[in-house]
Amino acid sequence: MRYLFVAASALCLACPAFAQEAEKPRTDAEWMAWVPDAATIARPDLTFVEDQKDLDNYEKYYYFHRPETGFETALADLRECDANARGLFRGDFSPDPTAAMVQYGVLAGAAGGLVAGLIADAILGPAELRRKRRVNMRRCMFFKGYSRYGLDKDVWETFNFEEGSSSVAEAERQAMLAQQALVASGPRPEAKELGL
Amino acid sequence: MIRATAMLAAISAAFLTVPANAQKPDEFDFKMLTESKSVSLDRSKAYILVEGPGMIITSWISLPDDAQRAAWKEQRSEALAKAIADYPRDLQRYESKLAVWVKTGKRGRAPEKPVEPTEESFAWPDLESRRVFTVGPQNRFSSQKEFSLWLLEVPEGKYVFYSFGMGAWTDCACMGSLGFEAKAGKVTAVRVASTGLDGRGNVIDQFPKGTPSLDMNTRFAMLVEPPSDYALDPRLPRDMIVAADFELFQRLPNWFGGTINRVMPFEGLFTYEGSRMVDLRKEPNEGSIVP
Repeated sequence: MRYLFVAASALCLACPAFAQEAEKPRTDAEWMAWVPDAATIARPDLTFVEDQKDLDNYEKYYYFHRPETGFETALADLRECDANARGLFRGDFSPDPTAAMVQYGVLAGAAGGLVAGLIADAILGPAELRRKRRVNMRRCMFFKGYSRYGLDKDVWETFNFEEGSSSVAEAERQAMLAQQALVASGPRPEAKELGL
Repeated sequence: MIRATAMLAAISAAFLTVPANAQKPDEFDFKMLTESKSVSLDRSKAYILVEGPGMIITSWISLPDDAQRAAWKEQRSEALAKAIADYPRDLQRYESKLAVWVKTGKRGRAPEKPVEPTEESFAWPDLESRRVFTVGPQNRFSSQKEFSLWLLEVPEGKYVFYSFGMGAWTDCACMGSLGFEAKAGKVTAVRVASTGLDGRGNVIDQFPKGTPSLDMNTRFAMLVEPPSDYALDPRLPRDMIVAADFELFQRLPNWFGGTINRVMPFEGLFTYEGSRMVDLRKEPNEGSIVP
C-alpha cells in the first residue's frame, strides 16, 4: 500500500514538468506565437557599475521600458519591431522573407531595389546589418512609446542578440524577446532616459 | 481546324476584355519632364510634381488597379501550377544529390530538400513591390538654390510615398506614410523633405556637436506635406496645379530591407497616437495597399 502511494506521488510530481514540456513550442511558427507565463521567465539582472565605455556605447546597448504596460503587450510590441528589423536578414536574394521561395526573375523589379539590396550587403556586410537592426529597434519602440535606457555590453548580451553574418535560432530569439518584454513591462528604471 | 479557330477566337475574345495595362501588371509607364523653357501638358494625362529642398532621391509606389491585381493573381496561379508539376522532378533530383552526398562521406553542405509547393507554401512577391519607382536626384524640372522640382507624367491612379533613397539604402515609411490620387488634367503637387530630431522626437535644425553617428542615423525624419509656393512654377498652367489630397497609410512592407521609419505628423492633417496614425480632418481618408 505504501509502495503504491509513493509511486502515485512520484507520478504526480512529474505531472507539472511533463505538462510544461508538452506545452513547449517545437516549430519556429509555434515559437513565434509562444506566449509564456511571465512568472516562468528569468528576469535579467540589470545591475552594473557605469563607466565611460558604457556611456559611449549606450547608442548600441540598451533596453526598453514603458510604464503601465503588461508583459504580453510588451512582448507583442517587441515582436513587431523585431519583425521589422529581421526583414533585413536574408539567406535568399529577396529581402522580403515572404518571398523566400519565389520563382521570379530577380531583375524584373521596377526599381531594381533587390539588386541594390544585394550590392549593399556585399559592400557593407554584417556591420551594416547590425546598424540597421539597432536603428529599426530604436525607432520602432520609440514610436510605440517606449523609453530607452543604457546597459553595459556584457549585461546586454545576456538577453539580447545582434544579427550580422548569421541569424539567431527562433527558440533562442523568442526566449530573449520574452526576457526583454519582462524588463520592458517591469519596474520603472531609475537610470537616465536616453530617448530616441 | 475549326475547333482550333474557335479556341483562338475564344482566347482573343478573352484578351479583348482585359485592359491593356493588366497584361503586364508589374510594368507601368511614367515620363520625367526635365528642365526646359516651356512645357506643354496634355490635359488627358495625369502629372505629379514633387518638390524637395535640393537633390533628394525618393521612392514611390504606383498602386495597381483591380484588373492588374487580378492579372498578378493569375500569374501566381500559373507559376504555382508549374511548380507543382515540376515538384516530383525536383524531389527526384534532390534524392539523387542526397544519395551522392551520403555516399561521398557527407562532405560539404547537404543538399537542400525542395519545399513542396502548395497554395500556402508558395510565396509570390507583392505586386506593389514591383511598382516602386524613384524620383530624383537627377532629371529635375526646376533646380533652384532653395528648392528642386520633379515633374512626372504618370498613369492615372493612386501613389504612395515609400521611402527616402532606393534599394537597400532606403528609409522606408513602413510605419506611417501618405498617398494621394493623381487625376487626369491635374498636376498633383507634394513636398518631401527631411530633418533631424532630438531624443524626444522634436525637430531640430542640426545635431549637437559630438552626436554619435548611430544617434544621427536613428533621429532622421521624413516630411511629406502639401507643396509650398515653389510648386507654382510659371511654366505650368495654374489651374492644373492641385495640392495632394492625402490618404493615410498605416503600414507598408519593408520590401527592400531598408531602415524603417514613418513620415512626420502634419498639423491639421494627422498625428500619431503611439504608432497609429490618426486623421485630424473632418472627413478622414485612410488607404491600404491591400484592398
